[in-house]
Amino acid sequence: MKIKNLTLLIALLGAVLFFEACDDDDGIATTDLSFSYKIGNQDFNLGEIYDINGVAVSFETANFYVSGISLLNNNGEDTPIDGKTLLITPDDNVQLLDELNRNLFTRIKFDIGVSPEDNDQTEEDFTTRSESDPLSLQSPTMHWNWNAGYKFFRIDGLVDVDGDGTPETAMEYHTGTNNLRQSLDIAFNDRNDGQIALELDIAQLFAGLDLTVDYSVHVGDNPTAAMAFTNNLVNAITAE
Amino acid sequence: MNRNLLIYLLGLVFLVLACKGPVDETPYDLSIPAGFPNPEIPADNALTQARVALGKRLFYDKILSRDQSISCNSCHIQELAFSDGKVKSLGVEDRIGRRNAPALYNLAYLKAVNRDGGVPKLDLQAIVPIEDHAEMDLSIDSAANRLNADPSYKIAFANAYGEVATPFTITRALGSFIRILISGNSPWDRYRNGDMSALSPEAIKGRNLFFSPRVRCMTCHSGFNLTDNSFSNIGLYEEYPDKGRSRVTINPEDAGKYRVPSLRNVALTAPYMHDGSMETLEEVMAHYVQGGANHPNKDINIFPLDINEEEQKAILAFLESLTDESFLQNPAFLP
Repeated sequence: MKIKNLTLLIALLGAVLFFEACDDDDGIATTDLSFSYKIGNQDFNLGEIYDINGVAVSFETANFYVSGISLLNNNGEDTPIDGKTLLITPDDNVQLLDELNRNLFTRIKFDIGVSPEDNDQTEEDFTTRSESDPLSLQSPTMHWNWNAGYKFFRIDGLVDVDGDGTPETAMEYHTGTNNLRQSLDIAFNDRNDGQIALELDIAQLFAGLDLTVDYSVHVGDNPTAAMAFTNNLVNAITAE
Repeated sequence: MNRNLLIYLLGLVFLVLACKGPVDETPYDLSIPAGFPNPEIPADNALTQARVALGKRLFYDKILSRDQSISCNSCHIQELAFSDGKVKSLGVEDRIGRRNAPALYNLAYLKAVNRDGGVPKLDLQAIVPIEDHAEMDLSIDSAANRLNADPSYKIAFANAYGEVATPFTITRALGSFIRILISGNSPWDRYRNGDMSALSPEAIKGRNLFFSPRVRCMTCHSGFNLTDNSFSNIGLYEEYPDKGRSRVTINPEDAGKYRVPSLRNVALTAPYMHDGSMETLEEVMAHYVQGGANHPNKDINIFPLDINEEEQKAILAFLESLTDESFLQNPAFLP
């Protein structure tokens, strides 16, 4: 009798554990945010020469900050990913977003740039943050020295100004200031590889810009080009 | 052999300990002139003798420039109230700076720093000249590596901050030195504090005009430091090649605006304006008497002044009385 009761007890325990295990599958998983760098339909590689708007260009840097991230479900309800600022680079373009059930969400909202509070730097600044903080000193630098705040997007490279087909003139697009924080809202495609996968078309960033003229932009010295570049982000970043 | 090894190890331990601390927290006794408020000292950079000494050493050291050809002192000379008498300063390889080098005094009382107010706090200011291509052209990271290769600097940084040279400790040390550059002992200060003989009759007349509703210089040049620290367009040009504050704010309404400078020691800080375009105080006076050029952002307080030559000379005499000889000769500011 005792052995029979014990067997029943073990069976019951096993059943409980079995169903418990099934109920633990709530869809929470590590979710990354990725940006695939492209030039039109081509893969993007630093140092390679591309044709952008008829001008030969090569790139040394294409780094940018992402902040103000939130995920939205089908009803438009917003779940913020608090306190997250990412520094995306061609070499570090897949970064942890959060542990979450991404099946609940269909859209992602974020800003290209950093929050006004972080950009202010009257309290914490890039010299006071720990090395692991994306807002600490970076190489290449993402801080302005003559202005408070961070470079939201930093592109460096060479551009062919003299038209001989070989890029030779230093190109810099360093954008920032709170006025040029660009907000994006993108519906992403369902994937099972743990990523919210986006695509960044570098060529699209320069739509409407003549790189033989506007090749050195640091916001205040060419606000028109800086604004055009910032506005182009909306079309440059799409769901993969 | 064992004895030598022991001595070597002891020396190594000593060096490590020297680099690790303890930090010398002896406070720096900042002498505040009569009538001046206490400046705000940031919580993460208490003013200590060790930090001021380190900051002063860095200020005079060419190690912070890329080719080690210039130091902060190259463009900020004590006898000129830490200005340099040039239209625009020359950086490494004689590159020409963007703007006229400002005088360095009483910066401890500023919030936004730089002529356009772009830097949010004094302790970040040093990064501008150190990293600017036309000035010292050295990344702050490279500056740290250079300093840490010098054992005497490693000890000095450890003594001041308990750690090696970093972007934080470099900027804070320089900030500490800049903070002690307080000027408040001019003849005008002595007059304000009760010495009626400190100003000449002409300077007194000029002072009265300066603060009068008719001339209204004090509209912007007010308070103990003769500046309200606002940003103003004084109609220097109809169109400004250098946009001033709008470069920082990207606001067209800030085009041509620059921080109202203090007028202390102004007789020594020629040439004047953000671009050093006026050689003498007489030229500056003529600009204000004439009322400035038309610019959409020109301050409404800038308009033609009805003051005769004698009155203009009196105002200039008052401006001369703002020179603080003790500041220009203070040995505490020397290397």
